[in-house]
Amino acid sequence: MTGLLGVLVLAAGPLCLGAVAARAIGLRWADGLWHHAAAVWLLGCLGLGALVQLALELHVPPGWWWPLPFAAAALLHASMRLCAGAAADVPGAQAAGRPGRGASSAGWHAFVLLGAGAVVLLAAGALDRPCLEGDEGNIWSLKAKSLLADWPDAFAAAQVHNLHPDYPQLDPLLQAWTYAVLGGVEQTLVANRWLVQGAALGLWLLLCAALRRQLPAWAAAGFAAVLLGEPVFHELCRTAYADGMVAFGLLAAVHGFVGWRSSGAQPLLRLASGGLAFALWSKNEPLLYVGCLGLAAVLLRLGAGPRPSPGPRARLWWWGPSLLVVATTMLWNRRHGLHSDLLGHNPTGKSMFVLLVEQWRERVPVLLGEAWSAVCSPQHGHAGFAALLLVAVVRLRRLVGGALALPTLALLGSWVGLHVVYVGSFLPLRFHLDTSYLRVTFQLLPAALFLLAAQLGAVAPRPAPRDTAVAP
Amino acid sequence: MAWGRRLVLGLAAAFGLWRLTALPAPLAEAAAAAARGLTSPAEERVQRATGLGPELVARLRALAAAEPGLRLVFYSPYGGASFELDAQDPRGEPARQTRILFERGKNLLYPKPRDAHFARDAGELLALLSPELAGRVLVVDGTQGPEPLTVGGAHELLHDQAMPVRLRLWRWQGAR
Repeated sequence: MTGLLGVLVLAAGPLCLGAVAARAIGLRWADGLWHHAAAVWLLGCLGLGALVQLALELHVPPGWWWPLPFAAAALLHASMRLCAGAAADVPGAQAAGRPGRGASSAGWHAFVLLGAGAVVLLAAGALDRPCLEGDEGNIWSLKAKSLLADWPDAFAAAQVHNLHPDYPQLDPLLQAWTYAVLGGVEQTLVANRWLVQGAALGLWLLLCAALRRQLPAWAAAGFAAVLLGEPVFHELCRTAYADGMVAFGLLAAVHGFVGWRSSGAQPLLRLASGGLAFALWSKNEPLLYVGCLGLAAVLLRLGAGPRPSPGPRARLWWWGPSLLVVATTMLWNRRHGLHSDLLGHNPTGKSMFVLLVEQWRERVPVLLGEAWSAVCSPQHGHAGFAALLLVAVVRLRRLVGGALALPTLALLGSWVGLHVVYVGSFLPLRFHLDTSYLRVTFQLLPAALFLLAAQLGAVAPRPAPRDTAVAP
Repeated sequence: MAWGRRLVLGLAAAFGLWRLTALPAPLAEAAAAAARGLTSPAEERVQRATGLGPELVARLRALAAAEPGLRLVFYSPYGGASFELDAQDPRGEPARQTRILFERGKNLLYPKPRDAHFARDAGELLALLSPELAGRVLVVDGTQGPEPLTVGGAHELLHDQAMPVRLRLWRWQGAR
């Protein structure tokens, strides 16, 4: 499939599947245009990844992959009709509420649209650059090509050519579908990025929507502009790196979780669940973030004593998609003999934990300097981490026991945790920092901006909900 | 304390809006790149990105398609391996360039062939010329001189690219 038809199928596949999936979890366009568009892309790509994985396991020929999201969307829609009678009966749909009909927010819409235009233009800048270099060439698109060209018999052996064959593979699965739609791995050197680049656009829209729920338009625009002015975000718009996908998934998880804890809206909890699964299927760092979430929960429980935590309680299903993703990745790697270099499969033969003990004296001061330099740099938005920490400390008494305590503590812990990984890295520290530090820590930045806005939003004039997230 | 939080809110928003001043330059660059991408043929974009001209790429693809199991080596005999990871050290530049040529070339051609490597000096190339592979190793040679490739034995010249960078394609015949 080539030309305009191919482009249409590439865009319509995830959108169709995502639109039906969003409806299935109780989200509505009327709840907020930008919020919904971002959720549709996230859910569509997550579902598409699952379909391609399934197609691989069932040995469906790649020539038959293009209709998969359309068929799945039709099936899901039909089953919703059959099971629920009507989509409005989806559990939680009423709890999601509807936005008000406040004064026109044309200025806000214009700001979001202009920002979206900037993201699209930055992404279009990659049309001149074939997807061959850096991690997008050596890890992500190479894995995608291998999923098509080497699957199934030669796949395991071919992974010696990949720098990190053990990484979670939502990004390669999306690229593999794109290659399949366009007719094979030799048919394009740029279009394979498009679905991944869509995550950058989704990140922008979701951040705008989430911030607007917390702040008046002028302040939300200011916070969102931090993302738009961030050089790392520009790079992620241009490439098929998975770090933008992680940031997108994490923001959906944090925003959905906070919205659900403060309003009880089940669709937001479902979005959070999908967002976390999306992040976990994109790269390995979210495993660290989940670990920090668990640690934060324990610390808060110890600190709060026997008092019950506020807000509604999540059921176990919240973890279902994430557990499925982690289990699938582990089983896939075990089946194909793929190992992480952090766990000892590297030239030193030592695991990250051994290296952590050996190198901490030498590396911790360097990392403190790197973090300080990033936080103080006016060229980056990393001051957001420091601001979040500062505000959390100042508001500690009010923070503990509120809906923001757990995600704030988990996010700040994750930020520290990323630095600890560099302490235990087998690579020369300067090289490792220069090639990844700002990009990897960026994964947490949009969620940090959202949490900062949520903390500060308590004193700002409340916006009338209109065009953003699901209202309580 | 409300004023303090309002102050932080205002400062943060002002910082974000100020950061937008950094946006025009990347946008202008992206617009120019997008225009180039939409108007120039794929071969030209590949050549700009990899240094591999369309004829050399076509030759490599044809050989790899006709002879599965070929090994491809990107070779540049200018060393620098020990200093490669320090981006500030100019002595590592030749090795960095060789790795870039290898990565881009390998990713462009994958999966034909799959077995791709790089060599930054004669010793590294020699280690890749296993006797059982005689006749099945292609070397993309970045040597910028007229001398023929002699590492490991005789090589047959298959292609000579002059621009944008001199690259010669050899087939290793085996040890003399």
